[in-house]
Amino acid sequence: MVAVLELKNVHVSYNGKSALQGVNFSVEAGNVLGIIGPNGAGKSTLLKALLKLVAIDQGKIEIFGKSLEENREKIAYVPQRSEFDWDFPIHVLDTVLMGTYPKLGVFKRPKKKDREFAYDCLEKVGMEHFHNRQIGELSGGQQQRVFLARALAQNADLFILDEPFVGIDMVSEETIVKLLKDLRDEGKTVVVVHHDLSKATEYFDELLLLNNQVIHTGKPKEVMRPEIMLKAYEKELSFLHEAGVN
Amino acid sequence: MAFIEGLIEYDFLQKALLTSIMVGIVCGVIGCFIILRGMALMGDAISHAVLPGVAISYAVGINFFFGAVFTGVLTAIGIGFVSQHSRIKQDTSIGIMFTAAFALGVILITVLESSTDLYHILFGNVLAVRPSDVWITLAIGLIVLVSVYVFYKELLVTSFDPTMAEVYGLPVRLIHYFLMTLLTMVTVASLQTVGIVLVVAMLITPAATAYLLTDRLSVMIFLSAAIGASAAVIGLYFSFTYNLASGATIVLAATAIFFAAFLLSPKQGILWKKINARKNRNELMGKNI
Repeated sequence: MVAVLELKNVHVSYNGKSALQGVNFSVEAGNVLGIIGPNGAGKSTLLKALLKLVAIDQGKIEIFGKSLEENREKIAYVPQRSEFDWDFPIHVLDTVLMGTYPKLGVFKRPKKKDREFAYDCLEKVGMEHFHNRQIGELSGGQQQRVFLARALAQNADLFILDEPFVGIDMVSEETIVKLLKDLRDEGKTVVVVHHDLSKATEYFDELLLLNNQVIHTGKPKEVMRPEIMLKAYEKELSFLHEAGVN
Repeated sequence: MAFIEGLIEYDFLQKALLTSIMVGIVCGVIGCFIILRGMALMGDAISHAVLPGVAISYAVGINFFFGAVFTGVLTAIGIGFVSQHSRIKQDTSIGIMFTAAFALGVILITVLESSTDLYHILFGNVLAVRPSDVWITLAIGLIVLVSVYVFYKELLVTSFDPTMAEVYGLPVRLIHYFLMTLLTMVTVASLQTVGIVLVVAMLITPAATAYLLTDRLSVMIFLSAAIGASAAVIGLYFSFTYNLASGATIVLAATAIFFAAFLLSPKQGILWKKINARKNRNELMGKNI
């Protein structure tokens, strides 16, 4: 079986500073993978490298056994919420409708059936009643659900989400987690950058612990062991030593 | 009314009105994308950067359209090149490149001693529009409107979420330069009407007004075009009736419409915001008593 995502010895640097060193890992279809690690560990950089938004210095990345260019239609990416201009004059349904653009191609406009499909996707995240609201009028969690609906409208096989649970309410978080698990059960693959360790074992099938290099990968229970976590979070915890706690 | 009589009587006034309305519409349409992409300064830059092109075109004896588009697009590329290949930020890069192009234009016009009147290029003179200029404006207007209609989807997604656009394979940078080309063409079309210095107002003000009035891009585009066209008609009326510079009256008409929206817009207007805030306060006070 071909891995959905395979990274071989991937190196990335920003302005001469190394961000990722020799990253190796692969994900099989039908998994929810969580990428965890401290701030500055290169989690978002890893996603950007996957999507060729940043160049890699060395190594190889394969998606469904091929290059990204051959598989663009199979990927849906949900950027961090902070990347958007929430004052943009766009309604919720039109935002979701954008998910149908990649398969429409240039020159074609979304038709009625595309709008209906976008509406169905909104229903899946429980946001259909907000379809004609301007996106800035929603709460953080509602916004995140709308962007997940847009990803659903892309009808992708691989979903990549950057910090989807930051600053959102519990209802939205539960809705999103449930949907991601449904997608997995349909045989899709989900990759999530995440930084709240408390829920990591519940949310993910596989974990990738990152700190500029791969510290550990595997089932959450294997990865979330104190001696392994300490390796990645050493710096974050150094204040304990300074405070004389051992 | 003297203006209506003048319209019937004078051919030059008909031409002026037609070009002004067209300029109002296309500036309004392109302006929406300019302000949503945070490129107001870029609009100002490109409009100034057409000057050397206009000077060279007059000297060589070709239509100024070609030279203007050439130096406009070249400056846009130069701005992108400097900001991408150094730590210089985009707005700084814009400041460097467009003033350079503009300065070069001023010198070229002086040296080449061309018959172009610098004052008319800078501030426009819509009442002196020639038939060929009307055709150029109409042609540019048509190209711009058709382009925006055909590539609406792509312009929307690259303005709202360039990352998604790039991930699904859109040539984001090419679309940026395409928009810069349209922007340059719009500037050229506006030369006669409002001139280089004030064209940025026609790009920004109607679009910003529309932005205060709606939450949908498609509606915003139509509103902006309508506001641009209205400003053109109102401005031209005052220009003709009171013998004032047409570019300036058109721009001030647009500004007046903007402030009306700024005060009275149902959702964004500061007047309603104040009234609602007071209403809320009174309600809270009422509850407390």
